[in-house]
Order: sequence, then structure tokens, then C-alpha cells
Amino acid sequence: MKDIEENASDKNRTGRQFEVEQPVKSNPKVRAGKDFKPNQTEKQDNPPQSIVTGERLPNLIDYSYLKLEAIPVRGLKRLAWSIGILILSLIVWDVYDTIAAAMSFHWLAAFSLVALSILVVVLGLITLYKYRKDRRKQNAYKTIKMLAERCVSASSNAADQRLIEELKSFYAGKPQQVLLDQCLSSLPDYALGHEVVTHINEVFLKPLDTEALKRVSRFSYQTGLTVALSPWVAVDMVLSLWRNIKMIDEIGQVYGVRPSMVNRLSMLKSIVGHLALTGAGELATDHILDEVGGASLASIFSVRLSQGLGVGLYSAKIGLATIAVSRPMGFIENKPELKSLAKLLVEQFKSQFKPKK
Amino acid sequence: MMRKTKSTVNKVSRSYLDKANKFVSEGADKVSTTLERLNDSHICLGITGLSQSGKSTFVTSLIDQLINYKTSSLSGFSPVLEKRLIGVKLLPLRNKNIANFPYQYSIAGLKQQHPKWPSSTTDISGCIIELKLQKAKSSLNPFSKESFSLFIEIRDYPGEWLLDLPLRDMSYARWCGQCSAQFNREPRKQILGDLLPDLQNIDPMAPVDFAVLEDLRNRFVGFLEHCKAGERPLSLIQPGRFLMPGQIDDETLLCFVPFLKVGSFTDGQLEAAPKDSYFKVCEQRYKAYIKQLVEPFYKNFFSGIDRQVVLVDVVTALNSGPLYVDDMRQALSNISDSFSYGPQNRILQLFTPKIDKVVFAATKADQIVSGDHSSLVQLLESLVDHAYKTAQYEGVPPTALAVSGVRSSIEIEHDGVAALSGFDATGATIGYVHPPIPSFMPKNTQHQGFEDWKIPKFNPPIVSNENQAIPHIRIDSVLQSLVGDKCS
Repeated sequence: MKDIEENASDKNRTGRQFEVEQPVKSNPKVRAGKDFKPNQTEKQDNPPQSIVTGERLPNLIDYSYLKLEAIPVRGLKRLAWSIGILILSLIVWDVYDTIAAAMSFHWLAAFSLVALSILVVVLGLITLYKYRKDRRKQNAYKTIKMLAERCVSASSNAADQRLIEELKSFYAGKPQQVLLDQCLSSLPDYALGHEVVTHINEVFLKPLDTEALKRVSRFSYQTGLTVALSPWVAVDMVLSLWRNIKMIDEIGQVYGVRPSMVNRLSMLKSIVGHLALTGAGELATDHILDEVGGASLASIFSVRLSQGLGVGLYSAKIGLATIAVSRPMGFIENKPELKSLAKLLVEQFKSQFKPKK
Repeated sequence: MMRKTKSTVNKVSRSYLDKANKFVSEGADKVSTTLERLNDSHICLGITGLSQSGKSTFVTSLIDQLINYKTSSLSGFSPVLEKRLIGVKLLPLRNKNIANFPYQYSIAGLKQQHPKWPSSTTDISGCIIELKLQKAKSSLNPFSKESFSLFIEIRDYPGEWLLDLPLRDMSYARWCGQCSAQFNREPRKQILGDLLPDLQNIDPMAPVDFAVLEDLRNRFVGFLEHCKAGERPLSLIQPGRFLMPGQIDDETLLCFVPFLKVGSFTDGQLEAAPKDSYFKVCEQRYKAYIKQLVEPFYKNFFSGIDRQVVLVDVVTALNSGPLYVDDMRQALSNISDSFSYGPQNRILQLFTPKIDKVVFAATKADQIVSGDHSSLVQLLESLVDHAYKTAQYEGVPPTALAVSGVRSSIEIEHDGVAALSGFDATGATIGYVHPPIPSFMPKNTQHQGFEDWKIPKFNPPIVSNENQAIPHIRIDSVLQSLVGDKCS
């Protein structure tokens, strides 16, 4: 260490050129398959020791196996059930008390209360049934998505058939049924796995994609325009929220998701998840603006208009996320990109607001 | 005359009594099993694996580790680690129609002076392992029982039969189409030889000549045997019973072949085929094969599984080449459609059982150096991708492990690289260095290191002490993943 420091402070340095010596590369032994006769030290004298959890070799810990299992708090489910039953018993008890009190007043009052209670229970059960039915249907397109993925990864006749059955059942009674039937009738009987998914993608889903993209484009333009023209921030927020929810509903409908509260909530959840996942990968709005419009945009648009354009672009992003979520199969190729929609949006804004000469 | 009538009556009444007795005893067994299942103390473990994946060795070792739990290394299995395992008993299955798993025979073979691997399974067998466990101490319930029993039901079957499961959803015509696609590609095309043009040229609408059909069938069985027992074994071999028939009364069930010309006819034409045509005769036998052999096998064996371990011999497939790896992936993908995964509550589990825990195990991990085990696991995950994703989607997080029922080699350093040393079938000492195991499916060019060189087979290690458990690789992890939660 001292030597190095002394050399570094040496004043008698003269300029010279030298060739950097290449560090000598150690030649790691490459394992190639070969048999050999073990010598005396390599021979297996005793039975081998077992290799157990967390070991790479006996007594050699393998840290990649280190993991702790979650220990759930036991009895939470039972506690929830008990609380539920307690609340239900209290309600029944209270209703019974009220009916008894009404009975002491007049039998007609008691009868009306009983009838009302029964009506509430029946309506509650009907709503619950409808909710569950809706949930099941909502889950159907998730199943279709998974089946499609499986068909792409491996050819399996049973999986193909199940995919087709699920698609048929999902679109039964919906306007898309006719299109699906046409698509399936032209499906070659020899098609397997990947071929089935590609055919459905090309024949059935591509036209739906075009329609969905049209709607995304229309909605994002309208939202952007409204924000650009509206002078109040609070109104901007309400307007963009309303238009975006409407857009989600409409795109869902294109792919066969009925507009209902349950579906909307479930889709919103998935869209937020999708946006969080793709957020980092997607291009930032500013970057897109730079790319599609160049510096000329700043000279054309005022601050308000730029804000409107930004909101419109974000709507488009939400629209694309909605397509990704509600489309019953993932895109095989030509996945729509925000860039192409952004270009269209900027063109529309340009033609709308460009000062006329 | 009177005596004859009396004897007939006696015979009939005895037969009815026997039937009634059998019915009552089976009913009692079923009730008993159902109660145990309701009590969460009976688990049906499905050992799933293709032919030659090491099922019998795995089951034998698993039983041996548990029976000799005091001497075995099961530090990853919580009841052993916490010293709560009081005792283990091996019981026969309650269903008396199924033979006992030949544990004694297999373990005697493994532990003799010149050890040998358990022989391949030729028919169904099974057993129940009863684990007597001490209950984890509860500070809240002073009346809790101190010990309880956990019954683990295991059934063994020929791996060949597993590949028949996808046929349940496949028509004969569709099967012919699938065969046509497979047979026109290597390596099957070459193995088929002259049989290929014969299967392609016979008109399925022509009247059947039973002698020709019999001849074709025999040659077809020869082809299947070659696929299985060739130097590089294939995985997708259907129909499996042609190779391992088990107990069959009607031999004609196994007398059909795929006619490759079937694909050139429309459904209507096939429907209208004459009854005595090759197509109709084979279709009828195919349907009977599914109904009488495949469906009962599935119903009795796989529809009641609570937990599953899927054994995959990744190393042999990798050593055979990319075509064989792909064939194995296809076979595993096909059979995975027959299982339903998902969490299920105890009552529903009685009626519609679902698999709520699954372990994918790359077997014969003792054939590679331990540093490559993690790559082997990644390779396994890509091989069983289809089933892996399905289980994940259904809310059953799968576990993937590199395991070995029997560890037959030790790891040494030879010429500066990691190598393995053990014994061959003659008892001579052998050692080898193998190419590194890739963690992804290698492309054709990257595969050469394995294709050029065949991994030698090790014999089991010499374990002379009967009470000493056989050395294993991560059987404790498998046990913990499958039944660990039921042991507390």
C-alpha cells in the first residue's frame, strides 16, 4: 500500500504510451458429459446421506429454499360467522318483538309487519341470487382468458373444446353470438390449441377490437375537448370521471360484458391493477406528446388545451386498459398502442384548434 | 331331484349372502372413510406420474422414511422436527378388491446385499399409512386430546394407464386424427416403419377383415412397446392398456388401431359407415375400452384425490433430446385436464373432491449434481407449465421440487469439476460428470451436450441395516407440502 502511494506522488513522471496488459483469464472448467472409474478416494464407501429441506448437500445449507410459511390467525372465519349469526339472531329477535308489540296494538298492524318482513327477506334473497349469478358470468371471461392461454401453451383437445364451450356460453343471447357462430363454423376441424386461438382472434375478435378502438378514440377526444373548453377544475374532474366510466361500460359491451354495478366495479378493479402493472412500461404522456407532435404543439396549443390533450390521452390509456381487461383473450400480435391513438388525438386537436389563416 | 333343488337354493342363497356381506362391509368402510374425511383425518394422496417416472420407488421410500422416522432424515417435516410423531403403521386399503402395495417386497429388494430397484407396477395396488401424532399444545382448550391419527391413503398404478385419461373426452375419429398428426412426425415416423403406410392406406369404410385387424393390432402394440422401451423413451403412448393391460376379461377391448385415413371423411360419412367396416368395429371397441377400462379407473382412482404429487423424470427426457422433452410436455399437458384444482370445504369435498395442494417433483435428482437442482426445478416448471398455471389460477399455489426417493450417488470432485459416484447394476463403482442442467428449454443446438452422451444408471446404495431408512432427497419437503398442515 505504501509503495503505491509513493509511486503516486512521484514528481518525475514523463509522458509515455504503453499497452495495457490484458488480465490473464482463468479458464473455468467446462462440464462436459463423461464417464470415469472413481479412484479409491472418490469411491462411495458408505451409503449417501439424505439431502433434506434447505440443503444443497448434506450439511450445506441452500439459502434459496429459505422461506417462512404464513401462519394465519386461526378461528377468524369462525369468529366472523359467529358475529354474523349473532347479528341475525338480534335482528330476528327485534323483528319478533316489534311484531308482538304490533299484535298487542292490532292484528292488522302485526300482519302488515310480517308481510313486510317476508317481502324484505325475499327481495334480499333475489338480489343475492342475481348478484351471485352476475359474479359467475363475470368470472366466465376470466376463465376464457385462462383457457386461451393454456391452449396457446399446449395443444390439448379437451382444453380447445372447453374454450369453445365457454365462449359459446358467455356469448349466448348476446349480439356477438351471431359473429361467434360464424367464426366457429369456419374453424377448420384439424385446428388445435394455438390455431384455434389464432382463428378466434382473427375472425371474431379483430372486428370487435376495431369497434372498441373507435370508441376509445371518440371518448378520449370528447373528454379532452370538454376539459380544454371548461373553465372550472371541479367540473373537469366530474366530467372526465363520468365520461371514463361511460367509456368503460361501452368497451365492456363491445366484448360482451353487460353494464352492471358488479361488472363495473370488478372491471374498475382489474383496470386499476392493469394500469399499475403497465404504468412503468407505457410511455409517459409528455414523451408521447414530444414524439407525435414535436415542438410545434407548444406553439399551437394554449395551457388549457394542452391540459385537455393530456386528459384525453389518459382517457385513451384507460380505454386501452379496459380493452386488455375485458377482451376474452390476450392479443397474439398487433396489440393496440397508445402511440397510435395519441397521434390521432393530436391530429383531431390540431384540426379543431389550429388558428385559421 | 329334491337334493338338487336344495343344493341350488343353497348356492343361490349363499351367493346372495356373500353379496349382501360384501355390500355391508363395503358400505361400512365407506362410512368410516367418510367420517374420517369429515374429521379431516383422512387424506387421499394422488401419486401421478408417467411410466418410468419412479412412482413405485418414490412410494416405497416415502413409506420407509415414515416407518423408520427415528433413523430417517426428515427435518423438513414438522411433526418429526417437533418430535410429535409417536408412531407409524402401514395398513391395507379398506377396499378389499385392490391389492396391497408390495412395500415389503420392494423394500427388501432395496435393502438386500445386492440392492435392486422396485419392479415396474403392472396393476393397481394401495395402502394406508397411519401417522399417530401428538397434538400441538393448546393453552386455551384443557380438554383437547393428546394424540390423534392421520390416515394417508396412497394408491399405485401403472403409469401407462394415466395417458388414457385424455381419451375420455376424445372420439375415435378425433383420436385417429391426433395419431395421424403424431405419426407423420419424427421420431414416431421412423419407429413405425412399414406400419405407417399400412395404417394410412387401409380404407376405414371397407368391410373388416379380422385377421388383418389382429395383425395390425399386434404390430401396433410392437410399435408402442418400442416407443416405451427404446433407448430414448417417449411419453405420449396411447392407449396405455395395450402395454399394461391389468386384469381384463374381454380381450377384444384391446383390439383396435387408429386408421389414419379417417381424417379425409366428413362426420356424416363416418356416421353412415357400414356396421362391419373397419371404422365402425374399431370405434365400437374404442368406446368400450373407454367405458369399461378408462372411466372406472378414473372414477375409482383420480376423482377422489385430495392432494397430488406429480412426478416427472425431467433428467431422462433432457438426456433424450428436444423431441422427447416436447413429447413429455404434451403428455403432461394432456393429462392435467383430467384433474380439478381449487380450495374446497370439507363437506363439499365429499361430493365434488378437488385437489387443494399439489407438488410437482422432478424425480431422480440424484442423477445430477446438487448445484444443478435449482435449474432442474426451473426446467420442471416450464415442462408442467399448463398444469402449474391451472393450479395457480384456481387458487392452489403449487410447489416445485427436485427430489429423489432414493439417493444412490455421492457428490465428488473429479478433475476440478463436480461429479457423481455410485454403483452400476453389477455392483461395480462408476462415476460421471454431466453437462450443466439448463434452467430453460434448450434449443436444438444447445442440446448436443446431452444427446451425445447417455447418463449411466446407478444401482441403489447398499443399506444393510433394515432399520436404517434409505437415503433420499427432499422427501421431507414433499411430505411437509402435502400433509404438513394436517399434522397440527
